Amino acid sequence: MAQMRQEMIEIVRFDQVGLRYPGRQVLQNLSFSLRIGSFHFLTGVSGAGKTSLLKLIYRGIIATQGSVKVFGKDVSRIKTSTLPIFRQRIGLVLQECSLLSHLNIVDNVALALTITGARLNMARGQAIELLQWAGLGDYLKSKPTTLSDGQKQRVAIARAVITRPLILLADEPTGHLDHDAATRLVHLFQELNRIGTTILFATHSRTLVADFPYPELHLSHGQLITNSSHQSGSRSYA
Amino acid sequence: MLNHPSQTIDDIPIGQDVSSRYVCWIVGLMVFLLSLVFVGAMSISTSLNQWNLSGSNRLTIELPMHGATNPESVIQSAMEVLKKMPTVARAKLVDNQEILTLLQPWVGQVNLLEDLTLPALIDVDLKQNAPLNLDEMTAKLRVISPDVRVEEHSQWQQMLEKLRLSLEVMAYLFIGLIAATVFVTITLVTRSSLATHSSIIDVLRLVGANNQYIAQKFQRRAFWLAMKGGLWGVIFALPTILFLNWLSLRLGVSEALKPTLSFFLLIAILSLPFFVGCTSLIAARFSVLRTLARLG
Repeated sequence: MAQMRQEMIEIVRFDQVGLRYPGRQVLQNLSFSLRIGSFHFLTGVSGAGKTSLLKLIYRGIIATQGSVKVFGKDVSRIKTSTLPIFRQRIGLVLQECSLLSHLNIVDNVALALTITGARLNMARGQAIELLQWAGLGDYLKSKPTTLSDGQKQRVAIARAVITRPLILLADEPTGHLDHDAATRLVHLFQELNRIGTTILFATHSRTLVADFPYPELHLSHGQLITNSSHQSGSRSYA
Repeated sequence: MLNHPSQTIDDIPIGQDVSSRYVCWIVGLMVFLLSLVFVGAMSISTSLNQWNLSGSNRLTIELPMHGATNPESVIQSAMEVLKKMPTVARAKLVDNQEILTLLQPWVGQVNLLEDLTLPALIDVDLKQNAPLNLDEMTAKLRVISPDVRVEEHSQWQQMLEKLRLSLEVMAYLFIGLIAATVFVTITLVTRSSLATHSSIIDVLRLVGANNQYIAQKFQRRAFWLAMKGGLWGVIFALPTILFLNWLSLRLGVSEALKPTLSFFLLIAILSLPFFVGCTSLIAARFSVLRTLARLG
Protein backbone atom coordinates (compact mmCIF):
# COMPACT_ATOMS: atom_id res chain seq x y z
CA MET A 1 0.00 0.00 0.00
CA ALA A 2 2.80 2.38 1.01
CA GLN A 3 4.70 1.48 -2.14
CA MET A 4 1.63 2.18 -4.29
CA ARG A 5 1.20 5.59 -2.67
CA GLN A 6 4.89 6.31 -3.22
CA GLU A 7 4.65 5.32 -6.90
CA MET A 8 1.70 7.62 -7.37
CA ILE A 9 3.67 10.55 -6.02
CA GLU A 10 6.88 9.63 -7.85
CA ILE A 11 6.58 10.43 -11.50
CA VAL A 12 10.08 9.16 -12.33
CA ARG A 13 12.13 6.57 -10.48
CA PHE A 14 15.61 5.30 -11.33
CA ASP A 15 16.90 2.20 -9.51
CA GLN A 16 20.58 1.33 -9.97
CA VAL A 17 20.37 2.44 -13.58
CA GLY A 18 23.33 1.98 -15.87
CA LEU A 19 23.73 2.71 -19.55
CA ARG A 20 26.50 1.38 -21.72
CA TYR A 21 27.15 2.27 -25.33
CA PRO A 22 29.56 0.00 -27.23
CA GLY A 23 32.94 0.50 -25.56
CA ARG A 24 31.78 3.23 -23.17
CA GLN A 25 29.89 3.33 -19.86
CA VAL A 26 27.72 6.47 -20.05
CA LEU A 27 25.72 6.24 -16.83
CA GLN A 28 26.21 4.06 -13.80
CA ASN A 29 24.32 3.24 -10.62
CA LEU A 30 21.83 6.09 -10.85
CA SER A 31 19.16 5.92 -8.18
CA PHE A 32 16.78 8.81 -7.65
CA SER A 33 13.15 9.74 -7.98
CA LEU A 34 11.21 12.84 -8.99
CA ARG A 35 7.96 13.70 -7.31
CA ILE A 36 4.97 14.98 -9.19
CA GLY A 37 4.92 18.78 -9.52
CA SER A 38 8.63 19.21 -8.77
CA PHE A 39 11.22 21.33 -10.65
CA HIS A 40 14.80 20.13 -11.00
CA PHE A 41 17.87 21.23 -12.80
CA LEU A 42 19.95 18.47 -14.35
CA THR A 43 23.49 19.76 -14.57
CA GLY A 44 26.85 18.55 -15.75
CA VAL A 45 29.44 19.36 -18.36
CA SER A 46 28.94 18.41 -22.00
CA GLY A 47 29.20 14.65 -22.32
CA ALA A 48 28.30 14.03 -18.68
CA GLY A 49 25.24 12.03 -19.73
CA LYS A 50 22.41 14.57 -19.34
CA THR A 51 20.84 13.86 -22.72
CA SER A 52 21.16 10.12 -22.20
CA LEU A 53 19.39 10.40 -18.85
CA LEU A 54 16.52 12.32 -20.45
CA LYS A 55 16.33 9.78 -23.28
CA LEU A 56 16.00 7.02 -20.69
CA ILE A 57 12.93 8.79 -19.29
CA TYR A 58 11.09 9.16 -22.61
CA ARG A 59 12.39 5.79 -23.78
CA GLY A 60 14.50 7.15 -26.58
CA ILE A 61 16.92 4.46 -25.34
CA ILE A 62 16.63 1.60 -22.85
CA ALA A 63 18.87 1.19 -19.80
CA THR A 64 21.36 -1.64 -19.98
CA GLN A 65 21.18 -2.08 -16.21
CA GLY A 66 18.63 -1.39 -13.45
CA SER A 67 15.09 -0.13 -13.89
CA VAL A 68 13.55 3.16 -15.01
CA LYS A 69 9.95 3.71 -13.94
CA VAL A 70 7.89 6.57 -15.35
CA PHE A 71 4.28 7.08 -14.24
CA GLY A 72 4.79 3.93 -12.14
CA LYS A 73 5.61 1.73 -15.16
CA ASP A 74 8.89 0.14 -16.15
CA VAL A 75 9.65 1.88 -19.45
CA SER A 76 11.50 -1.11 -20.86
CA ARG A 77 8.21 -3.02 -20.77
CA ILE A 78 6.25 -0.45 -22.74
CA LYS A 79 5.19 -2.00 -26.04
CA THR A 80 6.10 -0.23 -29.26
CA SER A 81 2.39 0.12 -30.04
CA THR A 82 1.73 2.04 -26.80
CA LEU A 83 4.92 4.11 -26.92
CA PRO A 84 3.25 7.05 -28.75
CA ILE A 85 0.57 7.31 -26.02
CA PHE A 86 3.31 7.22 -23.38
CA ARG A 87 5.23 9.96 -25.18
CA GLN A 88 2.13 12.14 -25.48
CA ARG A 89 2.22 12.44 -21.68
CA ILE A 90 5.80 13.72 -21.78
CA GLY A 91 6.73 17.15 -23.13
CA LEU A 92 10.11 17.51 -24.78
CA VAL A 93 12.08 20.69 -25.41
CA LEU A 94 15.39 20.03 -27.11
CA GLN A 95 18.35 22.32 -27.70
CA GLU A 96 17.86 22.14 -31.46
CA CYS A 97 14.11 22.87 -31.08
CA SER A 98 13.27 20.37 -33.84
CA LEU A 99 10.64 22.61 -35.40
CA LEU A 100 9.34 21.87 -38.89
CA SER A 101 10.73 24.64 -41.07
CA HIS A 102 8.02 24.40 -43.77
CA LEU A 103 5.19 25.10 -41.30
CA ASN A 104 4.31 28.35 -39.57
CA ILE A 105 4.65 28.38 -35.81
CA VAL A 106 0.92 27.91 -35.19
CA ASP A 107 0.92 24.64 -37.12
CA ASN A 108 4.21 23.59 -35.52
CA VAL A 109 2.50 23.81 -32.14
CA ALA A 110 -0.91 22.54 -33.27
CA LEU A 111 0.46 19.36 -34.84
CA ALA A 112 1.31 17.98 -31.38
CA LEU A 113 -2.46 17.98 -30.79
CA THR A 114 -3.63 16.93 -34.25
CA ILE A 115 -1.53 13.76 -34.15
CA THR A 116 -3.62 12.71 -31.16
CA GLY A 117 -6.74 13.09 -33.30
CA ALA A 118 -7.80 16.58 -32.18
CA ARG A 119 -9.75 18.72 -34.63
CA LEU A 120 -7.57 21.11 -36.59
CA ASN A 121 -9.48 24.30 -35.76
CA MET A 122 -9.48 23.51 -32.07
CA ALA A 123 -5.76 22.63 -32.14
CA ARG A 124 -4.91 25.85 -33.95
CA GLY A 125 -6.97 27.86 -31.49
CA GLN A 126 -5.11 26.39 -28.54
CA ALA A 127 -1.77 26.84 -30.31
CA ILE A 128 -2.49 30.54 -30.86
CA GLU A 129 -3.40 30.96 -27.18
CA LEU A 130 -0.20 29.26 -26.06
CA LEU A 131 1.98 31.23 -28.46
CA GLN A 132 0.43 34.45 -27.20
CA TRP A 133 1.18 33.33 -23.64
CA ALA A 134 4.78 32.66 -24.74
CA GLY A 135 5.03 36.22 -26.09
CA LEU A 136 4.88 35.28 -29.77
CA GLY A 137 1.47 36.75 -30.61
CA ASP A 138 2.99 38.97 -33.29
CA TYR A 139 4.72 36.11 -35.08
CA LEU A 140 1.88 33.65 -35.65
CA LYS A 141 2.31 33.50 -39.41
CA SER A 142 6.09 33.28 -39.20
CA LYS A 143 8.12 30.26 -40.16
CA PRO A 144 10.70 29.06 -37.59
CA THR A 145 13.62 30.06 -39.82
CA THR A 146 12.70 33.73 -39.41
CA LEU A 147 12.76 33.61 -35.60
CA SER A 148 15.60 34.09 -33.12
CA ASP A 149 16.89 31.12 -31.09
CA GLY A 150 15.02 32.31 -28.01
CA GLN A 151 11.77 32.63 -29.95
CA LYS A 152 12.25 29.16 -31.43
CA GLN A 153 12.66 27.76 -27.93
CA ARG A 154 9.41 29.42 -26.91
CA VAL A 155 7.65 27.75 -29.84
CA ALA A 156 9.18 24.43 -28.80
CA ILE A 157 7.90 24.95 -25.25
CA ALA A 158 4.41 25.77 -26.54
CA ARG A 159 4.47 22.60 -28.64
CA ALA A 160 5.67 20.56 -25.69
CA VAL A 161 2.95 21.75 -23.31
CA ILE A 162 -0.07 21.91 -25.66
CA THR A 163 -0.92 18.28 -24.87
CA ARG A 164 -0.80 19.09 -21.12
CA PRO A 165 2.01 16.64 -20.34
CA LEU A 166 2.59 15.40 -16.81
CA ILE A 167 6.32 15.98 -17.08
CA LEU A 168 8.37 18.37 -19.18
CA LEU A 169 11.91 17.40 -20.12
CA ALA A 170 14.13 20.21 -21.35
CA ASP A 171 17.50 19.34 -22.86
CA GLU A 172 19.74 22.42 -22.85
CA PRO A 173 16.97 24.73 -24.13
CA THR A 174 19.09 27.75 -23.21
CA GLY A 175 22.22 26.44 -24.89
CA HIS A 176 22.16 29.03 -27.68
CA LEU A 177 20.74 31.91 -25.62
CA ASP A 178 22.31 34.81 -23.76
CA HIS A 179 21.76 35.04 -20.00
CA ASP A 180 18.74 37.38 -20.17
CA ALA A 181 16.94 35.33 -22.80
CA ALA A 182 17.74 32.16 -20.86
CA THR A 183 16.33 33.67 -17.66
CA ARG A 184 13.12 34.67 -19.45
CA LEU A 185 12.81 31.13 -20.76
CA VAL A 186 13.19 29.63 -17.29
CA HIS A 187 10.41 31.96 -16.12
CA LEU A 188 8.11 30.26 -18.64
CA PHE A 189 9.05 26.89 -17.19
CA GLN A 190 8.39 28.30 -13.72
CA GLU A 191 4.87 29.30 -14.76
CA LEU A 192 4.22 25.81 -16.10
CA ASN A 193 5.55 24.31 -12.89
CA ARG A 194 3.19 26.47 -10.86
CA ILE A 195 0.22 24.88 -12.62
CA GLY A 196 1.49 21.42 -11.70
CA THR A 197 3.81 20.29 -14.50
CA THR A 198 6.85 18.37 -13.30
CA ILE A 199 10.00 19.81 -14.86
CA LEU A 200 13.46 18.39 -15.41
CA PHE A 201 15.64 21.08 -16.93
CA ALA A 202 19.06 20.04 -18.23
CA THR A 203 21.68 22.77 -18.44
CA HIS A 204 25.41 23.22 -18.16
CA SER A 205 25.01 26.85 -17.06
CA ARG A 206 25.99 27.28 -13.39
CA THR A 207 24.79 30.89 -13.33
CA LEU A 208 21.30 29.92 -14.43
CA VAL A 209 21.07 27.30 -11.69
CA ALA A 210 22.30 29.82 -9.14
CA ASP A 211 19.55 32.28 -10.10
CA PHE A 212 16.68 29.92 -9.29
CA PRO A 213 15.84 28.15 -6.04
CA TYR A 214 15.40 24.65 -7.42
CA PRO A 215 17.17 21.41 -6.50
CA GLU A 216 19.89 20.13 -8.74
CA LEU A 217 20.86 16.71 -10.04
CA HIS A 218 24.52 16.93 -10.97
CA LEU A 219 26.07 14.38 -13.27
CA SER A 220 29.78 13.82 -13.49
CA HIS A 221 31.35 10.96 -15.44
CA GLY A 222 27.98 9.26 -15.62
CA GLN A 223 27.35 9.34 -11.89
CA LEU A 224 25.01 11.41 -9.77
CA ILE A 225 27.36 13.08 -7.35
CA THR A 226 25.55 16.04 -5.82
CA ASN A 227 22.02 17.04 -4.99
CA SER A 228 20.21 19.56 -2.91
CA SER A 229 19.03 17.25 -0.19
CA HIS A 230 22.30 15.27 0.06
CA GLN A 231 20.53 12.07 0.92
CA SER A 232 22.44 8.87 0.65
CA GLY A 233 21.25 5.81 -1.22
CA SER A 234 18.00 6.37 -3.10
CA ARG A 235 17.50 10.10 -3.38
CA SER A 236 14.06 11.61 -3.47
CA TYR A 237 13.47 15.17 -4.60
CA ALA A 238 10.38 17.16 -3.93
CA MET B 1 -7.35 35.50 -37.66
CA LEU B 2 -5.14 33.23 -39.68
CA ASN B 3 -6.48 31.88 -42.89
CA HIS B 4 -5.83 28.14 -43.23
CA PRO B 5 -7.43 26.54 -46.24
CA SER B 6 -6.59 22.89 -45.47
CA GLN B 7 -8.19 20.67 -42.85
CA THR B 8 -4.99 18.81 -42.01
CA ILE B 9 -1.50 20.00 -41.30
CA ASP B 10 0.91 19.14 -44.09
CA ASP B 11 3.51 18.10 -41.53
CA ILE B 12 5.36 15.76 -43.93
CA PRO B 13 5.71 17.64 -47.25
CA ILE B 14 5.59 14.50 -49.40
CA GLY B 15 4.08 16.49 -52.25
CA GLN B 16 7.41 18.21 -52.81
CA ASP B 17 9.30 14.96 -53.37
CA VAL B 18 10.92 14.77 -56.78
CA SER B 19 10.75 10.97 -56.85
CA SER B 20 6.98 10.88 -56.39
CA ARG B 21 6.43 13.11 -59.44
CA TYR B 22 7.31 10.19 -61.75
CA VAL B 23 4.86 7.82 -60.06
CA CYS B 24 1.97 9.41 -61.89
CA TRP B 25 3.61 8.92 -65.28
CA ILE B 26 4.79 5.39 -64.58
CA VAL B 27 1.38 4.27 -63.33
CA GLY B 28 -0.34 6.05 -66.22
CA LEU B 29 1.82 4.26 -68.79
CA MET B 30 1.26 0.90 -67.10
CA VAL B 31 -2.50 1.35 -66.99
CA PHE B 32 -2.49 2.41 -70.64
CA LEU B 33 -0.61 -0.73 -71.68
CA LEU B 34 -2.68 -2.91 -69.39
CA SER B 35 -5.90 -1.58 -70.90
CA LEU B 36 -4.74 -2.38 -74.45
CA VAL B 37 -3.50 -5.87 -73.60
CA PHE B 38 -6.57 -6.62 -71.51
CA VAL B 39 -9.02 -5.50 -74.17
CA GLY B 40 -7.09 -7.32 -76.90
CA ALA B 41 -6.87 -10.61 -75.03
CA MET B 42 -10.44 -10.51 -73.76
CA SER B 43 -11.86 -9.58 -77.18
CA ILE B 44 -10.20 -12.55 -78.82
CA SER B 45 -11.27 -14.75 -75.95
CA THR B 46 -14.90 -13.62 -76.33
CA SER B 47 -14.82 -14.24 -80.09
CA LEU B 48 -13.45 -17.72 -79.54
CA ASN B 49 -16.14 -18.38 -77.02
CA GLN B 50 -18.80 -17.38 -79.53
CA TRP B 51 -17.44 -19.84 -82.09
CA ASN B 52 -17.34 -22.55 -79.55
CA LEU B 53 -20.39 -24.33 -80.94
CA SER B 54 -22.66 -25.87 -78.43
CA GLY B 55 -22.46 -29.60 -77.85
CA SER B 56 -19.70 -31.97 -78.70
CA ASN B 57 -21.97 -34.54 -80.40
CA ARG B 58 -21.57 -32.96 -83.80
CA LEU B 59 -19.47 -33.76 -86.82
CA THR B 60 -18.57 -31.91 -89.97
CA ILE B 61 -18.03 -33.81 -93.18
CA GLU B 62 -15.84 -32.07 -95.71
CA LEU B 63 -16.22 -33.27 -99.31
CA PRO B 64 -13.52 -31.79 -101.57
CA MET B 65 -15.04 -30.68 -104.88
CA HIS B 66 -11.97 -30.05 -107.01
CA GLY B 67 -12.02 -32.45 -109.93
CA ALA B 68 -15.56 -33.68 -109.21
CA THR B 69 -17.54 -34.08 -112.46
CA ASN B 70 -20.94 -34.11 -110.77
CA PRO B 71 -20.75 -32.40 -107.38
CA GLU B 72 -24.49 -32.64 -106.80
CA SER B 73 -24.48 -36.42 -107.08
CA VAL B 74 -21.49 -36.72 -104.72
CA ILE B 75 -23.31 -34.66 -102.11
CA GLN B 76 -26.55 -36.55 -102.62
CA SER B 77 -24.82 -39.91 -102.19
CA ALA B 78 -23.03 -38.76 -99.06
CA MET B 79 -26.27 -37.49 -97.56
CA GLU B 80 -27.96 -40.82 -98.22
CA VAL B 81 -25.12 -42.75 -96.60
CA LEU B 82 -25.29 -40.54 -93.55
CA LYS B 83 -29.07 -40.68 -93.15
CA LYS B 84 -28.98 -44.48 -93.20
CA MET B 85 -26.58 -44.62 -90.26
CA PRO B 86 -28.33 -45.31 -86.90
CA THR B 87 -26.17 -42.84 -84.93
CA VAL B 88 -26.99 -39.87 -87.19
CA ALA B 89 -29.90 -37.76 -85.99
CA ARG B 90 -29.67 -35.12 -88.71
CA ALA B 91 -27.44 -34.27 -91.67
CA LYS B 92 -27.58 -30.84 -93.26
CA LEU B 93 -25.66 -29.40 -96.16
CA VAL B 94 -24.03 -26.06 -95.34
CA ASP B 95 -24.65 -23.56 -98.13
CA ASN B 96 -21.82 -21.60 -99.70
CA GLN B 97 -22.84 -18.27 -98.19
CA GLU B 98 -22.69 -19.78 -94.74
CA ILE B 99 -19.22 -21.16 -95.45
CA LEU B 100 -18.07 -17.71 -96.50
CA THR B 101 -19.52 -16.24 -93.32
CA LEU B 102 -17.65 -18.82 -91.26
CA LEU B 103 -14.40 -18.00 -93.01
CA GLN B 104 -14.82 -14.24 -92.77
CA PRO B 105 -13.40 -13.85 -89.22
CA TRP B 106 -10.19 -15.56 -90.33
CA VAL B 107 -9.59 -14.18 -93.79
CA GLY B 108 -11.33 -10.82 -93.60
CA GLN B 109 -12.18 -10.05 -97.20
CA VAL B 110 -14.37 -12.93 -98.48
CA ASN B 111 -14.49 -11.68 -102.04
CA LEU B 112 -10.99 -13.16 -102.40
CA LEU B 113 -12.56 -16.62 -102.02
CA GLU B 114 -15.22 -16.26 -104.65
CA ASP B 115 -13.04 -17.68 -107.41
CA LEU B 116 -12.00 -20.74 -105.39
CA THR B 117 -13.82 -24.07 -105.45
CA LEU B 118 -15.03 -24.48 -101.93
CA PRO B 119 -15.51 -27.94 -100.46
CA ALA B 120 -19.01 -29.08 -99.57
CA LEU B 121 -19.64 -29.19 -95.85
CA ILE B 122 -22.25 -31.35 -94.18
CA ASP B 123 -23.17 -30.71 -90.56
CA VAL B 124 -24.07 -33.90 -88.79
CA ASP B 125 -25.92 -34.07 -85.47
CA LEU B 126 -25.42 -37.33 -83.64
CA LYS B 127 -27.95 -39.03 -81.43
CA GLN B 128 -27.33 -38.62 -77.71
CA ASN B 129 -25.47 -41.56 -76.15
CA ALA B 130 -25.42 -43.45 -79.46
CA PRO B 131 -22.17 -45.40 -80.08
CA LEU B 132 -20.26 -43.80 -82.96
CA ASN B 133 -17.94 -45.76 -85.19
CA LEU B 134 -16.01 -42.99 -86.87
CA ASP B 135 -13.82 -45.38 -88.92
CA GLU B 136 -16.87 -47.12 -90.36
CA MET B 137 -18.46 -43.79 -91.30
CA THR B 138 -15.25 -42.55 -92.91
CA ALA B 139 -14.85 -45.80 -94.88
CA LYS B 140 -18.39 -45.59 -96.26
CA LEU B 141 -17.91 -41.95 -97.32
CA ARG B 142 -14.54 -42.66 -98.95
CA VAL B 143 -16.30 -44.91 -101.43
CA ILE B 144 -18.14 -41.77 -102.64
CA SER B 145 -15.31 -39.24 -102.20
CA PRO B 146 -11.80 -40.63 -101.56
CA ASP B 147 -10.48 -37.38 -100.00
CA VAL B 148 -13.37 -36.93 -97.57
CA ARG B 149 -12.54 -35.54 -94.09
CA VAL B 150 -14.63 -36.25 -91.04
CA GLU B 151 -14.02 -33.77 -88.24
CA GLU B 152 -15.24 -34.14 -84.72
CA HIS B 153 -16.19 -30.73 -83.32
CA SER B 154 -15.06 -31.71 -79.86
CA GLN B 155 -11.42 -31.84 -81.05
CA TRP B 156 -11.15 -28.23 -82.18
CA GLN B 157 -13.58 -27.13 -79.50
CA GLN B 158 -11.01 -28.32 -76.97
CA MET B 159 -8.26 -26.51 -78.81
CA LEU B 160 -10.29 -23.31 -78.91
CA GLU B 161 -11.13 -23.65 -75.27
CA LYS B 162 -7.44 -24.06 -74.42
CA LEU B 163 -6.57 -21.02 -76.52
CA ARG B 164 -9.36 -19.00 -74.90
CA LEU B 165 -8.24 -19.99 -71.40
CA SER B 166 -4.61 -19.21 -72.26
CA LEU B 167 -5.58 -15.74 -73.43
CA GLU B 168 -7.60 -15.09 -70.28
CA VAL B 169 -4.81 -16.37 -68.06
CA MET B 170 -2.37 -14.15 -69.97
CA ALA B 171 -4.63 -11.12 -69.42
CA TYR B 172 -4.91 -11.83 -65.71
CA LEU B 173 -1.17 -12.53 -65.45
CA PHE B 174 -0.55 -9.17 -67.06
CA ILE B 175 -2.77 -7.54 -64.44
CA GLY B 176 -0.74 -9.33 -61.77
CA LEU B 177 2.50 -8.19 -63.38
CA ILE B 178 1.33 -4.58 -63.49
CA ALA B 179 0.13 -4.79 -59.88
CA ALA B 180 3.51 -6.18 -58.83
CA THR B 181 5.34 -3.44 -60.75
CA VAL B 182 3.15 -0.74 -59.15
CA PHE B 183 3.75 -2.33 -55.74
CA VAL B 184 7.54 -2.36 -56.17
CA THR B 185 7.60 1.18 -57.63
CA ILE B 186 5.53 2.60 -54.77
CA THR B 187 7.61 0.72 -52.20
CA LEU B 188 10.85 2.17 -53.58
CA VAL B 189 9.43 5.68 -53.88
CA THR B 190 8.01 5.49 -50.34
CA ARG B 191 11.34 4.31 -48.94
CA SER B 192 13.11 7.15 -50.70
CA SER B 193 10.53 9.59 -49.35
CA LEU B 194 10.91 8.21 -45.82
CA ALA B 195 14.66 8.77 -46.04
CA THR B 196 14.13 12.33 -47.34
CA HIS B 197 11.79 13.20 -44.46
CA SER B 198 13.51 11.18 -41.75
CA SER B 199 14.23 14.24 -39.59
CA ILE B 200 10.57 15.33 -39.71
CA ILE B 201 9.43 11.81 -38.91
CA ASP B 202 11.81 11.72 -35.93
CA VAL B 203 10.22 14.93 -34.61
CA LEU B 204 6.69 13.61 -35.13
CA ARG B 205 7.51 10.39 -33.31
CA LEU B 206 9.14 12.37 -30.53
CA VAL B 207 5.96 14.38 -29.97
CA GLY B 208 3.90 11.20 -29.90
CA ALA B 209 2.86 10.40 -33.47
CA ASN B 210 2.24 6.70 -33.90
CA ASN B 211 3.31 4.69 -36.92
CA GLN B 212 -0.25 4.49 -38.26
CA TYR B 213 -0.46 8.28 -38.35
CA ILE B 214 2.75 8.53 -40.37
CA ALA B 215 1.74 5.64 -42.65
CA GLN B 216 -1.59 7.36 -43.35
CA LYS B 217 0.19 10.38 -44.80
CA PHE B 218 2.20 8.27 -47.23
CA GLN B 219 -0.60 5.87 -48.19
CA ARG B 220 -3.03 8.71 -48.93
CA ARG B 221 -0.48 10.37 -51.17
CA ALA B 222 0.36 7.09 -52.95
CA PHE B 223 -3.34 6.35 -53.49
CA TRP B 224 -4.10 9.70 -55.12
CA LEU B 225 -0.92 9.71 -57.22
CA ALA B 226 -1.72 6.24 -58.59
CA MET B 227 -5.38 7.13 -59.09
CA LYS B 228 -4.37 10.23 -61.02
CA GLY B 229 -1.86 8.27 -63.13
CA GLY B 230 -4.42 5.50 -63.66
CA LEU B 231 -7.07 7.96 -64.81
CA TRP B 232 -4.68 9.47 -67.34
CA GLY B 233 -3.83 5.95 -68.54
CA VAL B 234 -7.54 5.16 -69.04
CA ILE B 235 -8.25 8.53 -70.65
CA PHE B 236 -5.59 7.78 -73.28
CA ALA B 237 -6.43 4.07 -73.57
CA LEU B 238 -10.14 4.41 -74.40
CA PRO B 239 -9.74 6.53 -77.54
CA THR B 240 -6.76 4.39 -78.54
CA ILE B 241 -8.90 1.24 -78.37
CA LEU B 242 -11.66 2.92 -80.37
CA PHE B 243 -9.07 4.08 -82.90
CA LEU B 244 -7.63 0.56 -83.22
CA ASN B 245 -11.14 -0.79 -83.69
CA TRP B 246 -11.81 1.74 -86.43
CA LEU B 247 -8.41 1.02 -88.02
CA SER B 248 -9.05 -2.72 -88.02
CA LEU B 249 -12.38 -2.10 -89.78
CA ARG B 250 -10.65 0.03 -92.39
CA LEU B 251 -7.88 -2.50 -92.96
CA GLY B 252 -10.31 -5.44 -93.07
CA VAL B 253 -8.66 -7.16 -90.13
CA SER B 254 -10.27 -10.41 -89.02
CA GLU B 255 -13.27 -10.03 -86.72
CA ALA B 256 -11.54 -12.19 -84.15
CA LEU B 257 -8.57 -9.84 -83.86
CA LYS B 258 -10.57 -6.61 -83.55
CA PRO B 259 -10.29 -4.95 -80.13
CA THR B 260 -13.91 -4.69 -79.02
CA LEU B 261 -14.97 -2.73 -75.95
CA SER B 262 -17.80 -4.67 -74.34
CA PHE B 263 -19.68 -3.33 -71.31
CA PHE B 264 -17.78 -5.73 -69.03
CA LEU B 265 -14.43 -4.61 -70.44
CA LEU B 266 -15.40 -0.96 -70.15
CA ILE B 267 -16.26 -1.41 -66.47
CA ALA B 268 -13.03 -3.38 -65.93
CA ILE B 269 -10.94 -0.66 -67.56
CA LEU B 270 -12.71 2.16 -65.72
CA SER B 271 -11.98 0.39 -62.43
CA LEU B 272 -8.25 0.10 -63.18
CA PRO B 273 -7.34 3.49 -61.60
CA PHE B 274 -9.04 2.43 -58.38
CA PHE B 275 -7.30 -0.94 -58.55
CA VAL B 276 -3.81 0.59 -58.94
CA GLY B 277 -4.74 3.21 -56.31
CA CYS B 278 -5.54 0.50 -53.78
CA THR B 279 -2.40 -1.44 -54.71
CA SER B 280 -0.33 1.71 -54.15
CA LEU B 281 -2.06 2.42 -50.85
CA ILE B 282 -1.24 -1.07 -49.58
CA ALA B 283 2.35 -0.85 -50.85
CA ALA B 284 2.96 2.52 -49.17
CA ARG B 285 1.36 1.45 -45.89
CA PHE B 286 3.30 -1.80 -45.82
CA SER B 287 6.56 -0.03 -46.62
CA VAL B 288 6.15 2.70 -43.97
CA LEU B 289 5.03 0.38 -41.18
CA ARG B 290 7.83 -2.06 -41.93
CA THR B 291 10.50 0.65 -41.99
CA LEU B 292 9.23 2.32 -38.80
CA ALA B 293 8.91 -1.00 -36.99
CA ARG B 294 12.55 -1.67 -37.79
CA LEU B 295 13.48 1.68 -36.25
CA GLY B 296 11.70 0.63 -33.05
